[in-house]
Amino acid sequence: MSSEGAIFDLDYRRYEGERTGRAKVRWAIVRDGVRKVLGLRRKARRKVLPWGLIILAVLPAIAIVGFQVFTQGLGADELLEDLIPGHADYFGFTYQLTFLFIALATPELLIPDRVSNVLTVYASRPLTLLDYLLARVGSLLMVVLAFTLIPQIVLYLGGAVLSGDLVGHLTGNLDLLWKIPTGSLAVFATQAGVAFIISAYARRRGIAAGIYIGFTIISGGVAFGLAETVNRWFAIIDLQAHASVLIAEIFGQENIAEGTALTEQGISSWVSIIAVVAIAAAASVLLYRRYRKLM
Amino acid sequence: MTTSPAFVSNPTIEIAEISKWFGQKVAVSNVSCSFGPGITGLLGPNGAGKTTLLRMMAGLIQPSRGSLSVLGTNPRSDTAVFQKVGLVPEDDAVYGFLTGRRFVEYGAELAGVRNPSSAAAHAITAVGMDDAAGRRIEGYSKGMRQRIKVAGALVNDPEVLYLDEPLNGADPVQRVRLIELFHRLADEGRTVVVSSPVLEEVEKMATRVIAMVDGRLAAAGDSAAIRAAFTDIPYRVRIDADVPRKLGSALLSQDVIRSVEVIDQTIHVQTDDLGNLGRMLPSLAQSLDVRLTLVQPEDLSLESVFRYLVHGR
Repeated sequence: MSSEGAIFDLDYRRYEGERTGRAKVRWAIVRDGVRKVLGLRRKARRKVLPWGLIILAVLPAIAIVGFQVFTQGLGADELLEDLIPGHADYFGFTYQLTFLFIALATPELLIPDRVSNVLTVYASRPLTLLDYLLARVGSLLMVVLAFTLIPQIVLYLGGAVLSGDLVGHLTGNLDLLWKIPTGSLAVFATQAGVAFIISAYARRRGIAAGIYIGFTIISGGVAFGLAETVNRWFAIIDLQAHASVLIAEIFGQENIAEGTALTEQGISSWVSIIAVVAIAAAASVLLYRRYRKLM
Repeated sequence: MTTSPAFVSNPTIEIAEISKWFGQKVAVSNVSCSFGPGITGLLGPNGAGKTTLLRMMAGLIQPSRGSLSVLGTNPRSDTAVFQKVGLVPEDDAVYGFLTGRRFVEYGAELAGVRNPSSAAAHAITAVGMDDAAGRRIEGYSKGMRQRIKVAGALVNDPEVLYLDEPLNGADPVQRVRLIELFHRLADEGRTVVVSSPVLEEVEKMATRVIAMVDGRLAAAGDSAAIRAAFTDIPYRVRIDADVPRKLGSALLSQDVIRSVEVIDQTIHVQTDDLGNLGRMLPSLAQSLDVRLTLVQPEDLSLESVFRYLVHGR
């Protein structure tokens, strides 16, 4: 019998090397999550939606810079300044895409692990449930940050080059260095919690994304209607409005949140801060409790 | 306690009065045993509780009662022990969209192996999957999936290896090769726990058996020793002779014989004392001028042990 086992003649060689710590293990899960979200090492159709949204987020920024290059020296700078969106306006545009991006990405991070029984693989490795969940959330955060930051960087650098005063432009807009990441975090905190909870229970990625998109859109409509007719505090169930209010607050540009149920009802932005923190905390607890039963 | 066959002298896994229930259903009830280097077969019919016990040993689920330690630590509280543990779960537990190589590499990364590609390459070679490692797992046969799972469990060079029905779907040649591999791992001093409802598999792999029935520990030890412990159940012995009826009649009058049955040209006897029968039979045959062509115990196999455990209780 052993003469047939030629492939085993090489013998199993023991691994004598070093072992890495938990941080490296977490990082491996983060990297895996980023690949999943972006469809890397997957079939082409898995890349279409994430990369389509990324292109949609970045392309206008490139177009804006290109347009500025084209119109430079035409003597219409003041007119164009009103027409061309700045960082805050552009952020207001990309965060709507972020909502779609999170809707599509979150199910990709949680559902295949569960339905393919791969959670067993994670549970039998030197990491805790918290490591796994933090790494999964971390991968989405990384991609969302990149999603919102890259077009802003294009605008920032484009503006710097076109200004003719590279250093002056960069130092004159230092506030963007904290506003943009903070805005991204605010969008993430508002939107990701609910998306993760839905994905923690749904068994199909498409259904999870659909429920999240439906929930967000319907909650906005319901919030508006109930706030108008029943009680103004119903405005707080509009998730997207909280994100708009926070971004408007961070960039100091009220027009971003104009027309939302919250601003229509004159509800303070502090309420949005408290609501977002509460949503994120509740989602974290629910997610942990759900996975404690699974891992 | 350590003199019981349920315990080994140099344990790497120690289980003390462990129970697990899911709602009203008791899956494992008050089991105490230990496992040491070498292959131990965890045997039992479907629903006996062996997968639940294995999952508790692998730290995947918390016991409802009792305690266990793996390499001297509780796997539920000290996850670092998983650097030295490998698991081949019963269910598929693979990403179909990954190549076999990438799946094993990822397992190495999760286990904290510093050079995942090299470790993955060795593990893949060990299970004979070099040729298919570059293909996506979704295109694998069940046997190939099983082997890539084994590679994933081996990639961190585990001291303790749990195998839940590891030969599922493997073809006969691969079964032989995997069994050889498990034997080699055991020979290297690793603790290998193999769960299976297939008696033939366990018999080929394990030198020691822990048998479970209805969530309880039904028997432990070497399969022949377990069989010998069933003193109230007679052994069955097959005897082939050239004049079976003559020998059969003579056997009936012997004290060591409980019953004699002659079917076609074969005698089946039941005895409480296998040793005495072995000593008495040649002289009896000689005195009757009967030629013996075969004397063979019929139920020293695990199957008979298992049959007694399941149906005899």
